[in-house]
Amino acid sequence: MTDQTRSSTDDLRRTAAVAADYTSLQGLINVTTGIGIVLWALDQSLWASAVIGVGAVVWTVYYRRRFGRAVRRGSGAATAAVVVAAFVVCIAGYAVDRALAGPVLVMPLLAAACFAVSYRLGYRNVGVTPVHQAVVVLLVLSAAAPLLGLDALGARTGMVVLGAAMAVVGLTDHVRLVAAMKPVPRD
Amino acid sequence: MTEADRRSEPGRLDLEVDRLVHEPARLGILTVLSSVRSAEFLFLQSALGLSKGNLSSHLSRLEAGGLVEITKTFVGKKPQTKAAITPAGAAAIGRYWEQLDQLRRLGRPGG
Repeated sequence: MTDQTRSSTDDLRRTAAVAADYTSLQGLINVTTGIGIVLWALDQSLWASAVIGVGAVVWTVYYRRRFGRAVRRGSGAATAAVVVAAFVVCIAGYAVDRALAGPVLVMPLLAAACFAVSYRLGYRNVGVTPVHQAVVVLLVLSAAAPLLGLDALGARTGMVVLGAAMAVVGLTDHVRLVAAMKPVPRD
Repeated sequence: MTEADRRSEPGRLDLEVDRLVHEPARLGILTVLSSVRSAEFLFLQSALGLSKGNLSSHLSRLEAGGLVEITKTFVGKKPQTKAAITPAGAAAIGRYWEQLDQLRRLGRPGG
């Protein structure tokens, strides 16, 4: 097998991997959700809801119109359950941080675990980048914010870091998706 | 002895390439469809960089060969075409990649 044949089949397998994880790679939805979470942490709840809600609709339509739709294998209900579970876990962590005001933030640690689980489920085929790994590390490190005197927002500090993490991962995924898709030639 | 029996004989290399699968655009279509439950026409165009006419033509051939299933609907007044791989298509593309892996192993020193 020539190098050219090997690289074209590798390219095809990469394309198939992107197709399989297409839903997870629609990262702009996570960008606006992350920005919304940061706004919420900064006491801008109304703006947060608007940004999250409008962002989800706008970017879903955007990806559908730009690249079309692909239905992933596996259960949509299972995916939704994982997302809800992650949301509940993070909210629970935030509630603990508010109640205890301890030397270490619990929510970023739980969020890091949720990110790690979501990576295994959402990027099963395309894998993760160093950016994805760095985000998890930063989430873990941010748990020490109270010890370092970096928790000016108290328990909400964790939410700011979570929102920023989601936005960074979302942008990375969007760039990966755009890079993998090809221009459509006219007939 | 059937074709399948001949192919599955121990020690026999299965290198008879299915030409319907082997054509690069169709190979791409089947590979992408094997990784999703279904895909819209535009998604296949975007993933594979094929023009409308080219993709249409290859999808028709694959449908005629029983390897994909095409569903055409209307969303409002806009036609929408969706494709999904059939069990026969999944078997064909699986066999094709296995053949490629066999070739790769042959090409290695001592293979």
